[in-house]
Amino acid sequence: MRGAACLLAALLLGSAAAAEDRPVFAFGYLDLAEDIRYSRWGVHPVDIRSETNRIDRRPLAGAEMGVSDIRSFGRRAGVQFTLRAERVAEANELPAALDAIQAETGAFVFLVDAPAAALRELAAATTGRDVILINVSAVGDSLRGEACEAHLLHTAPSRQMLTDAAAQYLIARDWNEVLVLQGPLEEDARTVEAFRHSAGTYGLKIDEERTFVLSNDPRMRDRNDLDLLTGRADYEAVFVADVDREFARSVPYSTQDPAAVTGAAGLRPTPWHWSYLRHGAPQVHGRFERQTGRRMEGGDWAAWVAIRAIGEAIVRSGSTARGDVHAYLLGPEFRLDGSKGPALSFRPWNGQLRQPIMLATEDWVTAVAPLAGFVHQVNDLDTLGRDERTSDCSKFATPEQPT
Amino acid sequence: MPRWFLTGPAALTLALGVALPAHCGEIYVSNEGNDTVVVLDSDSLEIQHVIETGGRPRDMRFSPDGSELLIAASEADRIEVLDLETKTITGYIDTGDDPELFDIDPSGEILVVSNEDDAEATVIDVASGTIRTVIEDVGIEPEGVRFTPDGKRVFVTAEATNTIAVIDPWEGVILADILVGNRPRRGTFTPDGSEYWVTNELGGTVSVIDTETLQVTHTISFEKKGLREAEITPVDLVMTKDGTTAFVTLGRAWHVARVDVATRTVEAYILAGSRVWGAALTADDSILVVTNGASDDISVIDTEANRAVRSVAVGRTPHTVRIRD
Repeated sequence: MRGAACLLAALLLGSAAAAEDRPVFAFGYLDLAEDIRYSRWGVHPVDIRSETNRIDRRPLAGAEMGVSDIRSFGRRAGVQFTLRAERVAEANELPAALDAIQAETGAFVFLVDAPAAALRELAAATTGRDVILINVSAVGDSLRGEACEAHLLHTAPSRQMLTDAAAQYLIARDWNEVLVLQGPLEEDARTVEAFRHSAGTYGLKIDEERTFVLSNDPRMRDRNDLDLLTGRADYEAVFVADVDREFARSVPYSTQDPAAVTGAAGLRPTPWHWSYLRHGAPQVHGRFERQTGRRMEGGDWAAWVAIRAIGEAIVRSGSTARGDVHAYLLGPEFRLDGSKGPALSFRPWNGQLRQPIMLATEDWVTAVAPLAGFVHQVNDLDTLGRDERTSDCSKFATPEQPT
Repeated sequence: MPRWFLTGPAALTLALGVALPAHCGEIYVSNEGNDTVVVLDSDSLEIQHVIETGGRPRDMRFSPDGSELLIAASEADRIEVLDLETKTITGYIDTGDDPELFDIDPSGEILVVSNEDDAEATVIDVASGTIRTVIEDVGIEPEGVRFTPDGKRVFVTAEATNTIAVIDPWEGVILADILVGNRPRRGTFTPDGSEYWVTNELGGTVSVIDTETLQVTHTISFEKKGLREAEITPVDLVMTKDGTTAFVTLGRAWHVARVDVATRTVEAYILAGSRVWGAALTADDSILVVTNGASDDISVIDTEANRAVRSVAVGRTPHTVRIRD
């Protein structure tokens, strides 16, 4: 009996030592100390001063869960996965931080949580280098278009994918006439541009586009008063473009005509929502909440799925070499389970992860796009965002697509 | 007059005059949506008993002596023991968090249960109800658990890591990981134990594993005109006693595939209900019963005719079916 117990202890010790001995495969992770997307945008005015409700919403937590989730892949691939994160003060410090992590750990996969402009610079600065960058939060379409880079992949959806999802839902409900309310920021203008394109694709009629301002100035009532902003127009739905979201919050139930609200308020398109109950999502969400003590958001999902994508590519390709991993990620065999239904894959013409988009209220996923009836000749997920024919990215060597 | 008598599958049965072979048995179905196990007479297909269980009853297994049914109540963190004579719950076995699927070794000494939220498998001594070992790190979201026919090893699928952990439950160690298709769910061994067949829900396939080499030797795909690839989501798999035929439930594809084991070819697609998951065969393999999780009913399939002959409403979100005959 004692002999058996000793043997068991030896076996367990042996396997523990083996785990420690495996070479490290490090993921690099870069973000910015000051990022308005987390410090201001989407923060409720009450929570600006809240001691208890101001939470760290950065996607880093999703990456940490991803590394924990792929431990058994490490056992199989003979490596030990770790995460090496660096938070820099200024966007122009990103390339140096990447160099430092690569020199220290040998990492070639870097998850980047930065606004589009910062990411574009980092991607341009690392062209031709032995790295794979994965964008986990920037939605800018030009990053997937004319400013694309062959070593830059995206697990965050593009703005176009998000507005296409909203447009599909309005069409499916037969709410075809839309009033667009546009905020003052550059991002809001980009969002309206994307929505215009979605409306054209799916046949929505934009009755009017109006700009709003956050203000109480009585001289600007035509732009700060919802009665005026939503009056004298024909619409069944209102699309709000407002990354800051403070104005958007006031729109639902305040329109002159009864209307559904989508965009930055009401039914919001998002890569992930904690309330989703199907496809194993509650298990993913449950793990995240237990590890972090908060709800899982879109950025968390994108960072988590980025790590899982690399893990999947390593075990399926049987290699930890950068070239093999990159080729497998973009190849025809690659399939990823993102716990939101269909198998996910990367678009080989611009490195964007194909994925369903959830349409969620505050506490319910009302629908998931692509909606039933929206079909694409290659993959229905390609009804969201630019497909190969309309892409203006030219940095990827694209294989022939089946037709 | 009850509505079912006039319409749908019941009317079809009468019209076609299909007679089911008599089995004088009982069909047990767990309803995870309303916390019950229902018992149907396998001849009349009428519900004879409704047994209230702990929260979210899912997998069920008969004890090797045939006197009890063990029911995993996921939200209650335990397995409940149902006496088959009295139809009363007579005991509880604590399992650790969120037990989903489990299996009992052929000797009846131990059982192994997957703890979905903790990436663990728990080995439990059946007689005393005590936990012998908790095996950690079996893969994320462990699901299907099966003992090899000789009772020496257990194969545990992990949905989120696409792996099967091969476990020695007696020593409490993981012997190997096998990489299979995307989102592996459940499986079964061929009667001679030489192969393990496992469904890959997201991959839309079944992987066949050689249990000697632990390599995937075949991958079986499913294709039917009118069904989109994304709808083909295999979940459960049962095999006839002689090991010649497998039945695979295809989830959102509304169908059950009948597969010839030797040639690995699909012989028929049988229409069932919405999100068809659980499956069980009668002892003589003449009847297959499947649970339709999204239409709250079971389909009763004649395996000679390859056709569903009845559907019976059983409760909310039926999960597992077991047949005693």
